[in-house]
Amino acid sequence: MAEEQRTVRLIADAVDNRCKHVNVLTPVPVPNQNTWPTCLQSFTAAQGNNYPEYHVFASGAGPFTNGLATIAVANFADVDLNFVTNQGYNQGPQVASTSLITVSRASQGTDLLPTSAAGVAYDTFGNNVARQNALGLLIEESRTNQLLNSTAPVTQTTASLGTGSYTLWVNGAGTATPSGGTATITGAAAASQGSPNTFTVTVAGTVTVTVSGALNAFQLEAGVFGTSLIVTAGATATRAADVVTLTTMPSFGSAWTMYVSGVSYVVTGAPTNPDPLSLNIGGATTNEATLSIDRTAGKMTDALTVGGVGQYNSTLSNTVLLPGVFWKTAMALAAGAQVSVVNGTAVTHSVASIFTPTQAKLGARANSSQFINGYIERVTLWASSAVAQATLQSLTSGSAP
Amino acid sequence: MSDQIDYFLLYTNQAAAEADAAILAGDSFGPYWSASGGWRPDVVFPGISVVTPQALINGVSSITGFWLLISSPALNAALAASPNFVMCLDRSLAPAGSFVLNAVISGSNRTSLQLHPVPAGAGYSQPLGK
Repeated sequence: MAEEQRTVRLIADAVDNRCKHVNVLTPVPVPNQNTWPTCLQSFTAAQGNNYPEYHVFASGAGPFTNGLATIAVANFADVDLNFVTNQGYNQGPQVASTSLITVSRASQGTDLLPTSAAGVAYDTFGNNVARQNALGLLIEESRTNQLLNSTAPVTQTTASLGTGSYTLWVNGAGTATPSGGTATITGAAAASQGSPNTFTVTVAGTVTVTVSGALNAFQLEAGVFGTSLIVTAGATATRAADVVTLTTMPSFGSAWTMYVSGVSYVVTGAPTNPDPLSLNIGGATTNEATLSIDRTAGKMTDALTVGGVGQYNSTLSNTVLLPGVFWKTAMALAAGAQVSVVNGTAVTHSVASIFTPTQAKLGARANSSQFINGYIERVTLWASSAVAQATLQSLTSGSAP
Repeated sequence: MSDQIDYFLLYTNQAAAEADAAILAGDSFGPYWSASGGWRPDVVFPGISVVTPQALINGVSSITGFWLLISSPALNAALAASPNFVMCLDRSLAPAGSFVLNAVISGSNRTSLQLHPVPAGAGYSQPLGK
């Protein structure tokens, strides 16, 4: 792709003789100007073809004056949202990534997961507040905790539950065991720290949950996997879904690229939940490009719909990513040529026409379905270029977000 | 004003709710219900259980009817004008403040009302008390 001239602020690190971006790492004073040519060359060579970590700032002309330099940068993204560090930008200076998204969730939510360590401190997020922490941005579907006083677990009997699958999970040193009250259930077993129990209600009715030991929290929810803790008191409570969109869309050209990394806790083979979706670019179900994980096989898939017609829906690799396996995936689109990549493995397509996106929805589909039920670590958009396959394969390799 | 105004509506059945013009109009983020996406999971709590002594509300059975809770970040005139509107509550003022902004049920029919599930973090008393 064509290189773009951007002005960035660089600081030479006298300790390890590398250039660092002043807003990414702690700056080190430049020892003398003689270091700049070496610094600039190494910076360009190391970063020029990689997913950039630097951002654009208004500045004077370079080079080598007061820490400013003008360099040629390839593959400079228009939008980069790192939710692990909560640093990001959208065609402008670096700000908190969460300030660049819009979150709609008409309830509180926490970040205590079924996989969280016993007794770990957790955060409670208010209505419509992004659930961001050091793991990324937590996005989940709506769920209801059927147990009362969920942070002071005691034996109790639920209200009547309908037929279907339910997951019981606990946090703490103890167990919670479901048994049929007026309901008939199968598959019941004790749930313990890190080991939820998924059982099936075959005849609707009440379920008794018997607590043993000292638990910090427990949750009983409809579904074949557990989600974050929903704090309850004297009534059951519902956590609304996290519907997250990019607040301001860049101007898209005739070719564009999207990248997303993260992890999903959906259980492989989950029959009653749709495919967890990591990133949706489009604006409507009639024009959308998605990267999602097939819930049956647990493998990353790509899909493109143009004008209401499905163009492709393919498996990108045979690696099983559910539950809890970290992935990095990307899709580059141009008329006549598309490539999708997951963790370094690529699949190509040759659809004649694509579309111009109007919305980017994180962790769900355009119609707010197919939630990722996990963490989004990073989202990057190139609004006017289809990044080369080799570059995408490089970007999606490794463990960094 | 709170960032969450909870609107309670009661319909004869779910299909009637799905056909309500105010539901289909939704808010700036889209309709509250659509054929492709179903109920909006970020702001709609469909099929909640509401127990009140008032058997009929707007001519609909409070026992067999379909209850809907829609949470809006601002006042929604269309929902308030719906013939299926029952009450709207300001979540930030619950449980001790004057959180009942408007309602078609009153007295003990409302103060003894119980609902479940509640939106996580909503401090409504059980019974409602106001």
